[in-house]
Amino acid sequence: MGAPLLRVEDLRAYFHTADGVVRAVDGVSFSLEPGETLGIVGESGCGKTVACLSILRLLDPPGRIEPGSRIMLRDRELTAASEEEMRSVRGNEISMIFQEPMTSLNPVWTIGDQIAETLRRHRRARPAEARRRAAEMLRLMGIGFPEQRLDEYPHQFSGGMRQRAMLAMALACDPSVLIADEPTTALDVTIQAEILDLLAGLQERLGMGLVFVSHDLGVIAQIADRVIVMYAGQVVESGTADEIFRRPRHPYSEGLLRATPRVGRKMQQLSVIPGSVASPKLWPSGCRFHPRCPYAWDRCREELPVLRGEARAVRCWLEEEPARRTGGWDGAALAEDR
Amino acid sequence: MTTYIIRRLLQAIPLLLGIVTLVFIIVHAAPGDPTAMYVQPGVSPEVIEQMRENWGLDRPIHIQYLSWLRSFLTGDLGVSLTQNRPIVAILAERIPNTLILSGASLLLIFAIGIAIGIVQAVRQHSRLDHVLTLGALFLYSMPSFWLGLMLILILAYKVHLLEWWPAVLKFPASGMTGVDYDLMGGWAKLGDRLHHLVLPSIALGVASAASVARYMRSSMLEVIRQDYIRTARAKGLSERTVILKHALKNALLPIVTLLGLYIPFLFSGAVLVEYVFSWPGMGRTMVDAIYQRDYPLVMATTFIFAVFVVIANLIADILYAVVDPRIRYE
Repeated sequence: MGAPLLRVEDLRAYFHTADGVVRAVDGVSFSLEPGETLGIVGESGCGKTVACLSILRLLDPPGRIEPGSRIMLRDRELTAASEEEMRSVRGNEISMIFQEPMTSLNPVWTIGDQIAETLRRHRRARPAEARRRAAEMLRLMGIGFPEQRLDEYPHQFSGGMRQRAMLAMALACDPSVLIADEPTTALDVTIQAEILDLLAGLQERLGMGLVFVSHDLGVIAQIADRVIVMYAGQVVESGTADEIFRRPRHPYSEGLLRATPRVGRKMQQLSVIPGSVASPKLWPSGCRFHPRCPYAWDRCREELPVLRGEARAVRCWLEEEPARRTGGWDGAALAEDR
Repeated sequence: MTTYIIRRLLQAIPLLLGIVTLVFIIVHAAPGDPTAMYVQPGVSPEVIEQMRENWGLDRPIHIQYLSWLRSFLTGDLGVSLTQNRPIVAILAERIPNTLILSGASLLLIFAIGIAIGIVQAVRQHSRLDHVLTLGALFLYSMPSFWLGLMLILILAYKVHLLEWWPAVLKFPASGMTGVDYDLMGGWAKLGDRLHHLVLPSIALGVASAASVARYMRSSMLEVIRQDYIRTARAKGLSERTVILKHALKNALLPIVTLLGLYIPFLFSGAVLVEYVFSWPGMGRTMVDAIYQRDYPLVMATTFIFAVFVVIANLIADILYAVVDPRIRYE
């Protein structure tokens, strides 16, 4: 097999603001194969969304992708592509759906128009043909009476249906990569499950690569083949979903898992990771997680650990000094609970 | 929708009635009456008294009001006391002129205002944005009659002295048509009318255009930050489509409200601008009528302006539903 479908290498996306450089994404690498689902997890503010927007080069100024970053779609370098080329990639080869289905659709144009627009743009479809295909997409997304629904406006759709309409729009041109940025976060749990099923089914059918971003480990566990865990703009751990969920090696992944409630496991109290993600303007020195890490020692404060390993990679000094993995989250969580 | 329009029109009836009553009281409260302009050394007080009696001005005010209201409601607007012509004839002659002027201004206000607002929003913080902001503030602060005088001084007088200045840009200073209008062919007539329309409609509209541009800029900036604009970009649409299709229609929603607000300003502005440019419209007729205490004409012109404002607001509300699918009138 040749080049992967999508390969991101050392992606750095900085915001050059008046009061300093915000290093929102700081050296992220991953790859995606056709038909594969890559989960990206992390707390809010760890750079997930910025990373996704960077792939489509949709960062608003003052945000920009730093030189040296590489985004390869098969063998095309997207960071070097012209704006015109990028426009033919967006919605056509790489599509994206967003967290807020309530606000992601334009309120003053019909659903049909918004789906057909993508087809007219990329496929040069005639209006009638685009409309027919738009109806077909809505049916594929499990929306009843698609013909009538085409002429309705977003406010006449429920949240779940809007996300389906977003999906119809995103998939209308049969893209090879779909980036889903927290697509189910804003939805009810039952609707969330429906959308996840739909996504999984569509992926099987259409064979696209899926980048699924969420802060919800439960959702990621359901859908992802491989997972990368992001913290403070960097990848701290990557591996197959199984590896991450059964044997997390980075203290942050460990903490995240402990903070996720599970059915069938009795818990007196849900543990939390103390503190919150630092400001991207001033990441902590050394390991960016050290202020919140229960294992941290001097070295963590001074030296930034490298991401060790290939498919299964961990960015932590514990990899070199495993003997220091003692005490850990129980003590920290208790300290916080007091 | 039809029921809504009918209901709105019915609601306007008491409003209009209130307006004419108020105006009736105010004009009659002002000192003097229509006979004042006939008072001359050669005219005896008895003659004046006789005129007053003929016009019914000697009756108590509430009787005058009721009798005026009676004929008004039967559609009889009466005869102008100063022009000695039926008021209907005067209105028929003047209303179209005012509508032409305000229509042209309205077009200018919204076309120019919206276009400039879009440019400013898209190029926010650029030098162009700053220049346009400053220019808008400058024009907005300028009284329309003074701007009218300056336009006449420069574009209708000074440039006529320049050999090289193109003739199309030498504008007439007053009136609606040139002296040789009747001798012109069809297209030349239209051209002549448009030529006469340029300066007054600029004088009348430019300040409002500047403020529409301000509103449009901020409305557009607000819309550009929305999620659906990001969605539109993520679809691979060109920036042009993103702005002119996805952003524009949303940004226009608050601007439509301005339409209803500006119409009354436009009519009151027309009063001054019609004077400056000797434009034979309603505004001038009304001001003259007020000065001469031509009561029936004052009442009729006020009533017509009030009707215009009511209709303009109704149109603005209907447009609102046209642009925003979330609004439905029952």
